[in-house]
Amino acid sequence: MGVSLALGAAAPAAASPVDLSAGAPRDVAELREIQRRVRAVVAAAGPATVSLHIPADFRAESGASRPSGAGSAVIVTPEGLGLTAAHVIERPGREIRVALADGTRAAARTLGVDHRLDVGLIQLVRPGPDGDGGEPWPHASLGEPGDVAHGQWVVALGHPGGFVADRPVTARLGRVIRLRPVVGFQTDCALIGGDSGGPLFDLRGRVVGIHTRIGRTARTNVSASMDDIAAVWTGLMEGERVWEVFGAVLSAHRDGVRLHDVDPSGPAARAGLQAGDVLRSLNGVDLADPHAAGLDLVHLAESPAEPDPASEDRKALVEFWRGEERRILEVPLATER
Amino acid sequence: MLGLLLLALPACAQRPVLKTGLETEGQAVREVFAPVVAAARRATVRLAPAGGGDSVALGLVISDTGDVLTKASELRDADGRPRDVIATLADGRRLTLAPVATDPRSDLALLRAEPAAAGLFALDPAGGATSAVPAPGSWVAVPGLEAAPDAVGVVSAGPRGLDPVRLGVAFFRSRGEGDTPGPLVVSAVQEGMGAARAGVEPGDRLLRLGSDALVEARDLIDPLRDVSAGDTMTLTVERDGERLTLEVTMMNRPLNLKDRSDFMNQMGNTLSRRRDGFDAVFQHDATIEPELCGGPLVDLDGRLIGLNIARAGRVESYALPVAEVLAALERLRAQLQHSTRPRTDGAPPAP
Repeated sequence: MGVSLALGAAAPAAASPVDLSAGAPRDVAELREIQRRVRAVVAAAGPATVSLHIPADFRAESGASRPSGAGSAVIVTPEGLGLTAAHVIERPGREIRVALADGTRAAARTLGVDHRLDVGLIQLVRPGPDGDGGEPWPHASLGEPGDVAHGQWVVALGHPGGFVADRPVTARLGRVIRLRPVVGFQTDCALIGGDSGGPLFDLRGRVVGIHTRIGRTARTNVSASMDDIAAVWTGLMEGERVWEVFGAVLSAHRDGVRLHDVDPSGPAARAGLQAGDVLRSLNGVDLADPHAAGLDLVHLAESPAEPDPASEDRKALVEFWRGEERRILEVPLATER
Repeated sequence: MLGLLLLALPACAQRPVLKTGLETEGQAVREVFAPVVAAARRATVRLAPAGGGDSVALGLVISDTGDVLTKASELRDADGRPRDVIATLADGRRLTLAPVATDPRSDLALLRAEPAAAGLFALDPAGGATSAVPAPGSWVAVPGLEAAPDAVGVVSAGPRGLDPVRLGVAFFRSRGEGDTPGPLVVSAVQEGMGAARAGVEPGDRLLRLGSDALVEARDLIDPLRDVSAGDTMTLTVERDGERLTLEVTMMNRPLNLKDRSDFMNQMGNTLSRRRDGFDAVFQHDATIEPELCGGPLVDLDGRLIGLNIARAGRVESYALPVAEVLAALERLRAQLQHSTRPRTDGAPPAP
């Protein structure tokens, strides 16, 4: 593909004197400038955007298996450190597979994850006897905290639906719509599963976000911001695991949502829930999809407590099955970050 | 006395949001593209069934007499037959168009104005960008009938082929007598696909597709290139010594709602019925509902770069590159040379 590997220092274009307006583009000339930069970002950062294959995962605690899945990631150092979403890799110490844009395959180890922000780090490993030695990896540079503003043009790269042989990477253009609707910021780039963990770039080609959640409409999606990522970087590098707000990993189940793995010191465990429990409803609303249920719990933890908004406690009334028994529990949610 | 009404707003409503209209495909942004689509807009038509109903597709006027290209599969009525349509132009004029040729390989149809029109503004695909699809990240615009384009976006990925329709069987070549190759035998039937629905079972020996004998794997794959999703074909199989003739409806890979990515592709979207099986398409992220397919796609210079051919998913809009459109046009015109359909103005059929 003839790609330069030393991308960290080379921004896709020298900063243009044209000031791109946060409102509507002024004229076709400004559209042309946007296009020049977007093309450059795709060409320069495409090779650093990789597809992840996560193997199926059996957990003895819950007695259940999560199916294999796909996500995206972006390589951010020549040594092969990659940034992705926590919900893609789930926990430290896993072996996963990576496909680069040109089709080469590699392996990676998962490092730390922070499920509150939904970000994680991986370390790519070169195939062959050298392991971590050898050529530098194609990589992109990270943006500074605070780089994101309303109306800013952003380029989403990723491998939607998983890696496709003759489709090196998929580029989408959007604008920053809202800062911090829940955690991170919202853009109108068109994203889908498989994109999770992939990078969002500014027009200088720097990573300003990681795709974490897709919204209900095609054009409202959430990214974790560099501000938040920078704050937890050390913990991620050291392989720390910060659990979901509920203190449990959720997986799909025929009758609801299963607790696949539980933090022994988290809200779910303290309230008496166990791995293997199948949650049927949350505050009276049936649960069907683990991803949506996770979002509901985050939302619950962030919104004013019911019935008393002045209260500190956010509670989730959880109906669940343990084996053959149906039970109900009130779970106080952790609200501090 | 009027007091102030105090509203208790939830915390999230106080966070600022980008003003409506300024989103990537918002009105304010699309209006900036008006000069870009000014020419192509005059050659764009909106198509609705002649019998009444909402518009089903856009189309591209390719001759001044009213030859129009559009997406064929959107023109079919409930019985699968192509039907006449009313075309509305940007200046408000209306024409009746009749389908005169269909190319299943590209899912394009050639329509002809009846009676023939004159002096229409046309965009000849031969004048478009025949050599290469613009690089990923390049702007694309979808002209409609308004001054601002109906949709805008960027090229997401370069041209690639998409899987054709399938029967939905896995099969192998069995051993015949004396180690000669034997018949093709079904090893598995894919749930939800045409073969399963028609009653094909593992173990069935595959004898004929339509009237053609099935000898090698290619005999089951090559004929499907010219077949569209929704078409039916007869499959003759042998089961326990008995010959069975089954009607199989051809399908693209079905959406499996239990599969999370297929579920998400359906979220908040309707998808084009025929959305794969193309020789080459390129992908862009302009939002085109199925009824906005069939019309031109232009670059920032207003040049024709393709014809929108399918809404295939939440992030996937597909266009046929100009080179594919031209290849399809050749096939469509060749069909007309063999056609005996009379023109209403009494002139002999044009090549």
